[in-house]
Amino acid sequence: MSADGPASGAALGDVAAPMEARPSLLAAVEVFGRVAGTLAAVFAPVVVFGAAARPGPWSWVGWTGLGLAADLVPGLVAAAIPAVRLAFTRYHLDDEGVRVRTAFLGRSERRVPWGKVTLVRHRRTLLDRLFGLSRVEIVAYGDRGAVLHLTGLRDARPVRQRAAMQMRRSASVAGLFRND
Amino acid sequence: MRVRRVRAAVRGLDPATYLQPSENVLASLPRHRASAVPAFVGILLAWAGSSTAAVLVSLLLPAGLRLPVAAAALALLLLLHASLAVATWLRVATSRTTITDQRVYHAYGRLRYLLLQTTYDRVTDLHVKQGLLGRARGYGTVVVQTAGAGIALVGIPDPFGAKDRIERAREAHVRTLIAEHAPARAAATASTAAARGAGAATATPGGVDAPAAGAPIVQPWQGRPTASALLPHVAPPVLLLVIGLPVLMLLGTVSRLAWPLSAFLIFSSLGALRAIVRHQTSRYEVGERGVAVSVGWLSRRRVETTYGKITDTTVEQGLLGRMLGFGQIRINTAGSNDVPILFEGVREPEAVKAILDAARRQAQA
Repeated sequence: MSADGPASGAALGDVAAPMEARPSLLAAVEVFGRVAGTLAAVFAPVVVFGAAARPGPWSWVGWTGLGLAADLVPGLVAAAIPAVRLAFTRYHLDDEGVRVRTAFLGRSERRVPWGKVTLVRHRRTLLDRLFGLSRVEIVAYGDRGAVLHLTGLRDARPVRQRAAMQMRRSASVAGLFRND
Repeated sequence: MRVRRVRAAVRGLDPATYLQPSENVLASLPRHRASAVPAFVGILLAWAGSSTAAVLVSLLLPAGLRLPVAAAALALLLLLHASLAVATWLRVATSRTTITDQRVYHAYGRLRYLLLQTTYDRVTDLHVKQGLLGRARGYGTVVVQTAGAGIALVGIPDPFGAKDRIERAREAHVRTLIAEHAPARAAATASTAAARGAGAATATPGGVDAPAAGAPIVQPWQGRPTASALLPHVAPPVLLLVIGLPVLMLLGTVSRLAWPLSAFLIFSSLGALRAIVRHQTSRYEVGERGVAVSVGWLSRRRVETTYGKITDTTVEQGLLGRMLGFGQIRINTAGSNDVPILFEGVREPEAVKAILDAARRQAQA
């Protein structure tokens, strides 16, 4: 389901029931693109000037091959780590808050209570669009606090709607007078 | 068909796709088209500047390369800036701010999009900015500020009117919250009074609200780092002395590696000593009102925070920690960019986290 779909209360299900979402491994492609793109920008002048400095029948092919190898191999290695992490990551949304849990060799769990969430961002990049993904960012006090990035979501709308509903449920008069 | 697709792409997301089922829309405001002018002027200036720089740089090249390099660079720059201009126009054309009785939304984009939303009880203040062109054409920016973050509603037509609408919606939302709060508060007060009358609940020394009747009372927890958490710090110098040095002596390479080995031994020993001191002097507390950590021997540091100030908690266990059963808990607040409270080397961190969660629930109850 995408954000383009119609909103309906029926899609939400029981608010009290915890929700679990898992990211798609395709989200790691972005890391690959970022690393390979950066390296390509660095190596492109090297390829051009290298080929121009040593002209020959195989010079362009050789330098371009070298440039591609220098981009793609580190890009793949850099993308492999987040891909493995994503495979062992789960997003949990319950009545108390939202948790991002990763359990591979080590284990980490980050949790933000709904009462502290100040903003919800729902974002979709062109790459996300290509793979049918989107991402939701749960912002709690911005840079001073925490931002939970729920990336690689195939179906972000229930997550966003759950966040909106829980923010409303956690609203309180005491919260209005909180001195923070 | 193609024209219809293009029109759909330029229209942006329909608010009906992201509104909550029970919301009433008070205003749906598209972005003022004139607000794109400053961005277009910026793109034009950037294009002129970069094109001039490209031509000047191409003059430094050999005569045969000047013309093709300059032409390629100019074409590339034109394409880049034209793409930027199209992207800017699409962003302006698809931007929409929706003010409802519960939230404010700001969305733009279609193929790639961003949707921001917040509820009124999170809003701390509203800012209105209006430049010269904005005053002439009747648009401006309203910043809906929340603690630590915010939503900039750029290019809003009649920004002061929009700000008034948001303010009125916020006031109505606060009145709703107060109306919801009053019966709950009365019920809680009655319950507490009944429990006190029966002697079931005891008032906490710090003047904190007594826990709700029937709720299990969480015992305060005090802890310190476990000894096994010292292993990663103590192991390197010990392993070097016990295994590394004898092996190197057998190989006869100790004299050649004397300097790096000495440096490693000194630094790793100092690190181990620091870890031992921290281990011996660190104390962690999960109390009725909040959490605290105290650390230090010669100079002592104690950091406390109440549950209401905690924004997020993180439990982390590395591979060694999972094998030996220890980990760390990071407790963050909105007060600073650093994590102020860190429980390092805690035995069974998940269990401690559960105690912390239970204590927080109790304090909030």
